[in-house]
Amino acid sequence: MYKYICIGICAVYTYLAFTGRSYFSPSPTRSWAKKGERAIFHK
Amino acid sequence: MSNRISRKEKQIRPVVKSFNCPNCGATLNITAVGRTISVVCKSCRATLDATDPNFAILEKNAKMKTVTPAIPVGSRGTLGGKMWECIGFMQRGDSYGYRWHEYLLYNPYHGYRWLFEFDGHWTWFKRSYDLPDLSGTDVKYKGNTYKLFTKGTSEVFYVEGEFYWRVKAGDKSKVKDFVSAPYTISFEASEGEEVWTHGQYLEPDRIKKAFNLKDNFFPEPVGIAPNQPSPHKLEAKTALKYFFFSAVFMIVVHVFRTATAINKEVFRFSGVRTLAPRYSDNKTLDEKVENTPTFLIEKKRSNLQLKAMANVNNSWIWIDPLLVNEETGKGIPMPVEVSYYHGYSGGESWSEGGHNKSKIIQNVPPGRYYLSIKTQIGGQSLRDVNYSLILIQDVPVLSNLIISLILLGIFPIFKLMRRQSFEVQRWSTSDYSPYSED
Repeated sequence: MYKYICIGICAVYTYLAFTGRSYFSPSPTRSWAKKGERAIFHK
Repeated sequence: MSNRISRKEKQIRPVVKSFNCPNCGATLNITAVGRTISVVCKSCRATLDATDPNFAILEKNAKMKTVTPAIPVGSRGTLGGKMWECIGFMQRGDSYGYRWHEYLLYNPYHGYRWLFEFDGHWTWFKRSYDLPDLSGTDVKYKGNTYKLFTKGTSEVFYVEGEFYWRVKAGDKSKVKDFVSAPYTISFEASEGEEVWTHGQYLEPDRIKKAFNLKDNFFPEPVGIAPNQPSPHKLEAKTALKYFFFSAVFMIVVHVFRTATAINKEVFRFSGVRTLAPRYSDNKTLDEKVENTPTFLIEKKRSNLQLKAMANVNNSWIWIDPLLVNEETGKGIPMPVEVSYYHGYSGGESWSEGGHNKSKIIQNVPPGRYYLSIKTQIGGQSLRDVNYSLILIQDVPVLSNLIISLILLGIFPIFKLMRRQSFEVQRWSTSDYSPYSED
């Protein structure tokens, strides 16, 4: 079973490494502000 | 070991010699005719001289307490593809109260073997004519190092059947046991004779099946035998192997990723956060917003590292840059707090926090951006704060590698702990434990 755990962790790590993602960094797709929020307001 | 018996062995019809016990008149058999030296009568326990035509009584053993063997004397079983007959049984023990049982097995083609049982654990013994290499407290035998497990004097408490030497209750001998699981090597010295025997652990079920034994007198295994193979040893070794290969793979990926990453500074901004007069009462937070010139994030979606530096001094600055895409107007918040406190109390100086902070935002699409920076400051000694922001595109993330290695390591560490615990338990009954704190 540990073999498959290793394969899984290696696969996740490779995905994170090549996409520049990390385990804990927030995903901007979740935190996109609504269009025109503060940025537009201050422009 | 195969349990298949050759046709030749199936046809074994051992020559059995029958006679009457000169002490009680019971009918006795000798299976290993010409090899057996002494026979113990199953009825009166008298030890008889098998080499004497009249079977002279060597010892009456009248006070010997009866012990029921798990393998009855006279029963046959198949082990390692050979049929063996149990022709003798002994209970031996030491001055500490430990008792073990030894069964002498015989096959006219293959000679003698011993089955040793202690606390329900079984070992298959064969006499060794190759002397082990004695060096220090341990011995070396056929490439294996055996560690000393026990040393002392053993005494025969009960005996039944026939033997190739003269044996009676009360016989004493010096013994030493060395182990290298699943093997063991034993030394025994008595009356000028020194014997080495080599043994291998056998699963109790195998003995039960081989001799077709019932549960009534078959002992259940208790604890861990000195030479019992550890079920965790192979698992731990395999886990370490997988850990090693996975770790190497991930390190290679990390090195490659580090070498090929864009890792480029795309924007740098310096600002001064000044206090508004109306909020400079040391208690109230003040907020300020400013927009920066635009900059370009090129090539591909990638992560973006924000490095924030500020000359805070017993104070903090909350920097909340919104990374705004000029085209779409959408923004990514990247808030970060820089705080630094220090002082002197209780005769010691202390500090906490620092002047730098960093964070990574992932999956930022390419495009032209600007920062809309909102700042707040606060703390005990408020004054203007100089701060800088640096944005770096596509940085390798070392924390991913560290977290992955930690996740990978949990299982092997758990297995190693189980293996260690097994070994500590194995050696807990030995005076020569390598895990002893003495």
